Amino acid sequence: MIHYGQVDGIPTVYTEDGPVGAGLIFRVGSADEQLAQRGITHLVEHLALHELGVTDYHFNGTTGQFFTSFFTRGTPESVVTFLQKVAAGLKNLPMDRLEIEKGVLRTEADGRGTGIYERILFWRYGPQNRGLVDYLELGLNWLGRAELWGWAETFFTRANAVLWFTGMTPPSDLHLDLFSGQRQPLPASPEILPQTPSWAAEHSKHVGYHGIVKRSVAATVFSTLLHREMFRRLRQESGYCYTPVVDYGPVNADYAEILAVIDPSPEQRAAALGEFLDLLAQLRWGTTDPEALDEVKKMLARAQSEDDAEAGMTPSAALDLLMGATTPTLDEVRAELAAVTLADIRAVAVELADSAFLLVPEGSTADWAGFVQAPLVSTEVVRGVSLPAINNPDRSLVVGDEGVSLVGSEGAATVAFADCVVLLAWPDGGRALIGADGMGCALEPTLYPLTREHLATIERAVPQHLMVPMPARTQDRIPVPPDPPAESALAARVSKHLPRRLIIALAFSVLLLVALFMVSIGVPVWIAAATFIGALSASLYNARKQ
Amino acid sequence: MVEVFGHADAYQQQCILQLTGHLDACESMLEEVLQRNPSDSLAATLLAQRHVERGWSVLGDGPAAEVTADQWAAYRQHLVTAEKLLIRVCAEHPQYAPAWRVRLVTSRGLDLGVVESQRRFQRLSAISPGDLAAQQLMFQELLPKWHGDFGKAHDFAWSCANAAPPGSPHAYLVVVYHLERWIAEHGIALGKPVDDPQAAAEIVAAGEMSVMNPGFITASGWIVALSHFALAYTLLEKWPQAQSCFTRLGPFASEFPWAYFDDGPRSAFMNFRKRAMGVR
Repeated sequence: MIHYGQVDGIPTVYTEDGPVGAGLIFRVGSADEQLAQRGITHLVEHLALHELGVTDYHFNGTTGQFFTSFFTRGTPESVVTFLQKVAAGLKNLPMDRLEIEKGVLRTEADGRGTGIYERILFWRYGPQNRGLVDYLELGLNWLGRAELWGWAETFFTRANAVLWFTGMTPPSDLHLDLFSGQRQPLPASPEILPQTPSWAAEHSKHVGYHGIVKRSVAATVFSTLLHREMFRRLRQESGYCYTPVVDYGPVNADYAEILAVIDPSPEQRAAALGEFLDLLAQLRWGTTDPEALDEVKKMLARAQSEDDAEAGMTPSAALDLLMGATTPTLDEVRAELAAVTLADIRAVAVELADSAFLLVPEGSTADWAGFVQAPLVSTEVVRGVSLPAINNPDRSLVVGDEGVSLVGSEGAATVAFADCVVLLAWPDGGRALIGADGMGCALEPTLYPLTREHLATIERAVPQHLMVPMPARTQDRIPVPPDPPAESALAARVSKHLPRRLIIALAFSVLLLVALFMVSIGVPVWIAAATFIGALSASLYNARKQ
Repeated sequence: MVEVFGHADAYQQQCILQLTGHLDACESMLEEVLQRNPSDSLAATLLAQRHVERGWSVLGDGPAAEVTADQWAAYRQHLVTAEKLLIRVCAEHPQYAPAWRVRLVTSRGLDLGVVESQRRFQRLSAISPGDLAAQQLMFQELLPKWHGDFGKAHDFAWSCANAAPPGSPHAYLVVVYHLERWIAEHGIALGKPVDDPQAAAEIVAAGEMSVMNPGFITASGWIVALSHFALAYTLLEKWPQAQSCFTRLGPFASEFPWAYFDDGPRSAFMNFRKRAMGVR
């Protein structure tokens, strides 16, 4: 039985079943941050946990997109001690640990790869809200006590928290010394994709498919059915891939996201994608085998009748409370499960398909399956002073009153000051601007004739709170311009006779160089990669002859 | 139309499809039909084939190097339109072979990769085993002029030949393989007699399995098979076999292999027939 109550004025969910454990969850995460302060929530979580040091029970903290949780297992006494210490730590963050914890977080970030889920969120949401999961924790470069205190006082508060307990009755006399605060609603996360279904290609081995559907038991059944069919068709029957995965999770009170990932063997990549898209089309347009649906329903029903099923549901029930959602009882879920029909499955498939974003490996396409390519270049170039790249007539940087644009033969990347989310500044003078649509412009004085005045114009146009100081770059990471071209007459003679392959190879190298410049300044690799790949595909498509 | 199509066999269906694809007037009629019933698999497949034809005609007859970026874009747009129609047909009717056949062409034209075309071919073969039209289409993609190489094309041609019952036309793909190879190596000087003992042995063996086999009858694919063997035997100067093929063809011929020649299929056919039948 799951019970609802209050402990120390904090909404609480608990069950007496299952192992003894508890969690304190706050309605705050990376989606609440701005790119310039990215990492502030994570930093608070780490600082608060520092006080607990090394203990003989299991505890942990996680910072997610919308929630930050502190949870533990142990005995009723140890659980209480944990919660009290976390609360005390949050109210009084050990600021003397600030620089050390920043170092810990940087190390953590280095070890962490970027997953396909994060990449998809980047494409869908850009450098704000939900898309921030894919970005570096730039806040670590500059956040100080005042900012951290303010964040804790706003978000890590009694009114913005819920508690959960399993395997015990919550102690009625538990007191947690937290800031009072207010409940913080889930941030809206507008999409930057002009339309869906949409696709993009990246240097990756996997295929990811992501969509948003209304929360329902039918949607969870659909997810399980999708996984079952993916396993059968993509692994068992064909061997195209090894471990298909489907994840379903709520994003707010009413909606959930579904993520399907396949890991095709390199030789079979095109066939894996083709089979996967045909499978999705069949769920959306065709008939699903009623026996398959029945089997999935039975399997899910069995999972729900297991002991400790409710203990497992308790933390999500707590999240629902924070999201303002009502958690159905186990009986309600069972009834809804029994009532799921083929029509319900198709409805979920339609909703998923209409909202879908598909991320495929470089070299693959998806326009033929009805997906619109996500924009790789800006549609407009700002008006202003045009600075040609040093020794590279194909590229130029335009600095104007409204923003900046990097212009090349494959297109332009424009960041308008009004839409700028961050200005990165290196001690060597290099700068980078990132816009809300995910476009980035690297402003390198070594590559363009940028004067101090140009840089001052740009800095004046960007609000102070969006400027992020970057650590010093070693010499090898500061981009250098290409060698000057040979004497013009000689160059003309040579270029007329350059075979097509060599021209393409040169274009490739120039684009690669630009991408590397962008990476070296710390602009997220994905922007650089996206620009490079988009530009390369565009130029190869144009140059291609069958 | 629906009735005729329903009674046609796999090979005939593909022929009907290709003929309809050439007809301008069809397009708006098909679109109307689909508006009223988006699940009409025949209409959708015909419309898809129509778009495939339109796409190919945008490219024109000249060399690839002369095709402009706009033409490539328009070509791809037609193929994308076709493929989207076909994805839905195959989703609603996974056993509908005609749609899978056209998807072999779209897969090739959209550069989806040999591996993806092979996936579609396998699906189609499971629904329609020994599907000659499907084999022809898959074979084309395995040629180096598309996305394959002669090794793959050779293996595929023989696998089709070996899988077919005696007296079937399928082994003619072995002839296509050798013709394509001769063209690639010697250009369109393909009128001269060919001295290629290895190829000759294979073509003779393939012939015994199909057109020269006592079981060979005028079933679907008989004209294209006899036409190819007729040309091959003539080039190899195997006169009795060549004469047998031309005699059985009578007044009929298929566009290929005669369209390989500069003077046009009709002239080429008649010249080669004259050459073969003139030998005593």
